[in-house]
Amino acid sequence: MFEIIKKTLQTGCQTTKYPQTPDFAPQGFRGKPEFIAEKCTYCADCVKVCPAGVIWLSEKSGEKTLSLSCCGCIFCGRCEEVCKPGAIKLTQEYELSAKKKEDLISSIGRKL
Amino acid sequence: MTVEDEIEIMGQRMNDKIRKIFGRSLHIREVDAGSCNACEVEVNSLSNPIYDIERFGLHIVASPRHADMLLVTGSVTRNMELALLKTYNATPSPKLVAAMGSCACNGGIFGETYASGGGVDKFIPVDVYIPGCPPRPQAVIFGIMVVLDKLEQKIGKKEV
Amino acid sequence: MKTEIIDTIKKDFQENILEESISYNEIYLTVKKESIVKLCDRIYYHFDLPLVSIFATDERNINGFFKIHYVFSIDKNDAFIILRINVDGKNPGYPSITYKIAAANWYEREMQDMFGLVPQGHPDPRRLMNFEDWPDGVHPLRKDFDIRTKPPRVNGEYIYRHVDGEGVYEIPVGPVHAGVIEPGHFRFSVAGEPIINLEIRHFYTHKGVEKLFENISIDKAVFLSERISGDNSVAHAVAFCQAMEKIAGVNVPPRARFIRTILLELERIYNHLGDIAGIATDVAFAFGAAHANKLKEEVLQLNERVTGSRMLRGMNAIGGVRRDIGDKKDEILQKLSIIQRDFRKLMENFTSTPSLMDRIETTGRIYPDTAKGLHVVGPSGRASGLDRDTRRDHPYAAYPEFNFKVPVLKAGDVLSRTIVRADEICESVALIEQALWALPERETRVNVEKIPDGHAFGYTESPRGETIYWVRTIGNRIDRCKVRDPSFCNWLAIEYAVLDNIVPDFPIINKSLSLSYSGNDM
Repeated sequence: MFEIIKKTLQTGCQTTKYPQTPDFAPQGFRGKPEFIAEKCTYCADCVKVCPAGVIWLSEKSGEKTLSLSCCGCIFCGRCEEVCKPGAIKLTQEYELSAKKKEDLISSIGRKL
Repeated sequence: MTVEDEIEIMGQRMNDKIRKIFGRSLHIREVDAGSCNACEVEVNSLSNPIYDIERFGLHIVASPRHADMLLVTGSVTRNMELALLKTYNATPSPKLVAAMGSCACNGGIFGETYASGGGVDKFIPVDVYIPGCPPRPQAVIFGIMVVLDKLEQKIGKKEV
Repeated sequence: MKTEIIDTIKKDFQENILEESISYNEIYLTVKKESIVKLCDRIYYHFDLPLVSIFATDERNINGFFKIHYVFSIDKNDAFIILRINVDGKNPGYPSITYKIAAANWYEREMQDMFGLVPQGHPDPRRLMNFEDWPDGVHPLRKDFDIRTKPPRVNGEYIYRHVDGEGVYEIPVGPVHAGVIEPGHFRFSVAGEPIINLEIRHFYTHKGVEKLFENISIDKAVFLSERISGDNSVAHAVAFCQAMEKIAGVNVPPRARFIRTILLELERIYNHLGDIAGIATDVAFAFGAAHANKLKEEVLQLNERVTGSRMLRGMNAIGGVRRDIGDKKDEILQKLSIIQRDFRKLMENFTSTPSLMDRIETTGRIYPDTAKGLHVVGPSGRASGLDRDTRRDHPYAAYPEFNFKVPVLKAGDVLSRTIVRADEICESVALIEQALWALPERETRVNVEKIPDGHAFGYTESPRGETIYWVRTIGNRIDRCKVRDPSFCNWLAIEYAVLDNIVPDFPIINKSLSLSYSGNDM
């Protein structure tokens, strides 16, 4: 019993301060994927490799739109791996919750 | 003022009230509707001494009848569909539903197949989507705050 | 491959062998369907080889047959012997071996549901994976079943085993449980407090993974394998990658093999810590639970800093690993030494708490012969005297280059399972240290563009035990991927472990066996 009390006192408070103070994911964490619009060539390589199928390319009246939904994304980083121009990066952002599915979609577009 | 407007205002007031009530405490029932158990590991992490969600008045309870919110993981398999609906029906109103993890959000890598339903919102209404595979415990806390509109507390006040 | 045992088996079976082929360390013998019971019986009892898997393949479009594979492991020689029988596609019956070898029970019922192969003479031919609302004659793993079909729900009934007697009550539990665990149904028959019968019913989380493997491209399949049993991500991914690398004839760079070993051991540490925390929680030893959970969380955070994922996901790829962790060496070593020191102290606190020991000693016994008969694997098997460990018996990754002990105990109760886990944590820390100090230089991945046609086994020792993949590729796609998660073997053991224990001890026994529902149901 004495040992247990001793250990408890030695350990002290371990609880994180989140959410009162922000908590940053470590370097190399695979969080929200983000497009870098100016680098993208709309080759759709990322669309082909995405295991969850949450990246899609649409074409409407001469404008190509590349969209990604975090809703369903498994954060594997395959898109970043295959993107030759480096137009997609996984950021360290993890606070992604949203009340609507549409809020989780990010898109970039370009006129042809 | 039309009747619809009045109803809307009343609904708004009710919502505010719910928020006030839930601001004190929220009881969560976790339902695994066919996840790969990584989400369960993270939900268990929520109650460990590091994250300790009980300090916000969030409790993980043993029965849906005690719960205000269902935290659903997994893509809703054919075999779990009925159990999920029964759990949802057993939860007292107003029932909040959080879809935790990519499978719950839209099926994730399992998609929609003969056995996998492809997302919780195909079966019951979802109030908040928490993406991640699995989401970090902090992301789940954030998701619960989103559903409670507690965001301003996080940014504004230092202490809850 | 020249080994005595294989020659003896071949000589023994001579007139029954139709065809034989050897690839890698796998000896395939196609035998006559009628002789399978006799041959399995002989291999299992006379040669004393464990039955590690049974699976079927649908080859009706090639030769009009289903093939059933019976896989036996030759631990001494790091080899597998596979008996194959052909089952007529139009008349899919074959003799059941369950009444001779109990470990075959679920495999045969699984094949009955997934392929429509009927095990003649099976003592319990009820449905397993398909529920009562699944229509007759529809079998998902047959090639003519499209993955997107949604068969209609039909009326049906599942009949549970029934215990009659004065004062006997049934307690149904699940599929949604009181704790944060996965779904499954348990039906206890109790007379007073002691459990006199338990029937488990699973496959609530059946997600159609094996069918999904056949419908996605190979590079995506690695991510799918990580998500079969979430807390065994690395073990599953490595097993899958090894099978593919075997088929492709790729030599994985040494640095990648070492990194895989480190990841596998990190996974073992956090899983075992979680199990020990769970046992402490279930006996209401809050102090132990809090500290073990804290240690587990520290490992998870270390995982996140090292690999970017708390569950160590996204690290494996066919041909190596996707990320180098060499620069994190000091951090890992430092953190693990602190964790190990804390853990040793914690275990002293555990063993010196009489109220805890009283609950876990002699609770949930699995006797060695039960464990052997059901083929219990992993720490649960080792706590019941089964001296098997894939890391040692079928070495893979960088394990042949390290020294480690495999703890084996005889009692088979919750206490011995806890001790086996505690010892394994210390061994794992030592293994990671060895691997980090000897980490070879150079590349971590070779590019594998195309996988040739072929088939192979991949295997790892996950924290739960022996995980086996059998993959066959045709035209750079997966034609069949059989996954045998350790839980598939261990689940039935719980029906025996709880007998004569009281209902309140069930959660402890369940936790001590550390069973994955998702890995079992797939």
